[in-house]
Amino acid sequence: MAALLTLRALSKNCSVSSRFGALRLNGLYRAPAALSVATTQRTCQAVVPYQAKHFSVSPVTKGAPEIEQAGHDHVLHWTAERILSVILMGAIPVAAVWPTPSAEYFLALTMTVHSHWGIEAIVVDYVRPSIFGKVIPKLAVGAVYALSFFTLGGLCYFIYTDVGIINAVKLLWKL
Amino acid sequence: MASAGAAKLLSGNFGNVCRQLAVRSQSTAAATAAQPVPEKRLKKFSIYRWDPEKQGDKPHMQTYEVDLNTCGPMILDALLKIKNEIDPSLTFRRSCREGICGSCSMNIGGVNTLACISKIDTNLNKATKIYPLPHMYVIKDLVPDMNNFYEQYRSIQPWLQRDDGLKPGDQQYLQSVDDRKKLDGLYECILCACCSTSCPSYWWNGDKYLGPAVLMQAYRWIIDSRDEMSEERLKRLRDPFSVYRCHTIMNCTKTCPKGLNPGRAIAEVKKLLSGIAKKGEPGLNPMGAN
Repeated sequence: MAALLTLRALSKNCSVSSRFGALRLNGLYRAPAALSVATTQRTCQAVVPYQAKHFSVSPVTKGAPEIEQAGHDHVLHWTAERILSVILMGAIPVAAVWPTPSAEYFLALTMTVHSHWGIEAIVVDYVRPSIFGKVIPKLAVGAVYALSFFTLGGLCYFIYTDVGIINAVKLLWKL
Repeated sequence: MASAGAAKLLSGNFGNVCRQLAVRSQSTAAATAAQPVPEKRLKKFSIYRWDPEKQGDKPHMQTYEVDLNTCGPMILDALLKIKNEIDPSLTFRRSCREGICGSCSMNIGGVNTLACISKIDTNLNKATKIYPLPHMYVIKDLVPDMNNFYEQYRSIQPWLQRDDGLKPGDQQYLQSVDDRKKLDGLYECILCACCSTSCPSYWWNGDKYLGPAVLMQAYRWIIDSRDEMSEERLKRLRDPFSVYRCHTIMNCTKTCPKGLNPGRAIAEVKKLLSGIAKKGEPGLNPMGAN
């Protein structure tokens, strides 16, 4: 609400806003006075009356951050994640009751994909370009793919040559 | 919307003010009767200090002692008392002192909240720790840089958008009672940024993730029955970062000093994006032709 009021005051009352712009917070930061007058003059030419124009109440102006719109569409990804989670909720008990090789392979694939998406989200969250630069985040995501393929391969090998996931869990449970 | 809330708060506060005045006049009367002065209730406040003007100043905690007998009940009262009587260099934002402007948001005792509506913990053995909003650039002491937050709010275009070519003020737009009800719990947001700065996702990706406060306002405009640009609004949110860095941690809802639920609003935005939910037709034609 404070922001809204300030914004309205800025776009409606130019003279006041330019005075505030020059004064800044407490007169400590004088450097961008000329600059802020220029921005407030631009503010006056608002086409839409309630449009929030750029204004600054602090000396730390990083410029308008470009909120990335160019990134790919993530909607299908999210929907697929939800659908897979729901499927797994049914698939795991069914496979536990009737362990067949096809159920095992299905479980191996779905659980790998499920955990892959989860770990990928964590890596994207934490290994981010603003801290690690441009290269490391891409390598990290690549490593997640490598890990997931290794997991899938390992699970398939285990199902093919050994007792399979379900029986392995059951054996572990018996210990 | 602000005035309505303010009026409500004022009506509640007026009684308190009267009571306080009454108490004060009583206490002066008591003083003249030379009663024993009550023992001081000294409460420690440990406050984050950093002054960019001082050469080589490092952020540090400074402890102040305030006598609660001569201080108002809220954290903001204590801060003002410290600024007025102990250390005028202490810097923080405040304005309305009644939880309607959102200026005095800060981290008090580990929780993001408004200093003006959070009570002082009267346990005198414990110091109350006060920090600026977490993971924001600090300008000075308790004053964080809100530019990125306001830019993000600007990016969702928080105003009514229609294709009818009318100028603002030409016509009143109709809205059914049910459609209006959908905005309850959304429009009350005062943009204090308590929720956004409590969100780990916003800490790590605050440059690209819009954060709960802004997303709740995005939802507020998407579902407004009078707004015709919902599709365009949603289209701007489809990338992996704007909305989808939300992992339903729900710190936002837990911390909101106004008791709103930004986490739910983001979930609703996700539902609208995936097509599970639809906005639906307005209950009343906004132009009133029906």
